[in-house]
Amino acid sequence: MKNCLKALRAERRWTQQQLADALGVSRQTVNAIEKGKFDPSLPVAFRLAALFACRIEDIFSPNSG
Amino acid sequence: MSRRPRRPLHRYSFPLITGLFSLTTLCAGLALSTVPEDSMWRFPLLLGPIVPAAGLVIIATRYLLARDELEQRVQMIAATVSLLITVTFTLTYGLLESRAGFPSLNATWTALLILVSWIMTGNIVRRRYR
Repeated sequence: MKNCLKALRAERRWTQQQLADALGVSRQTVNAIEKGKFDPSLPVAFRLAALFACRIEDIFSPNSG
Repeated sequence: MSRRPRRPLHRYSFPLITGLFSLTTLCAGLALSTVPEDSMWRFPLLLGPIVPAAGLVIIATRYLLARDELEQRVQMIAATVSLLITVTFTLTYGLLESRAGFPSLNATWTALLILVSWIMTGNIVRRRYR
């Protein structure tokens, strides 16, 4: 899946560590999600959407779409 | 912005219980040499290190459950690959031992093989997600 997490994080000037702490995951996980190497679970995706005050599909989109 | 505090990393309990396991194993080995062959005390002495070993299993399980979803996936892949490596190796060596006369190996080598292959595979899989 593609995502615009890096751009959203940059807009708010958060570090990967700050975002990781807010999500309750490790910095490595945030890095892997940003690079598209790891798709997060639904609970983490919902927490991301809540943090950025948007919908999950505003952050993630399928590779084919 | 912090959501929840991180759970402790078992930084002290893991080396402590490992040290306790090594110590009980060493003491049991030393005590066994002084106990007669037909003594009933040999069994409790031999089984003594199982108590700290059980503690080790509990601590390792709690440690793994406290990891985040990426690390849990890494560990799951590493454990599966480690299991497959161990099955392949033990099956192959078992055949070589029974059919080709290879020397008999102590079963504790299997535990070492599992640990080494688990750690190595974990590092390789973790690199994939960097």
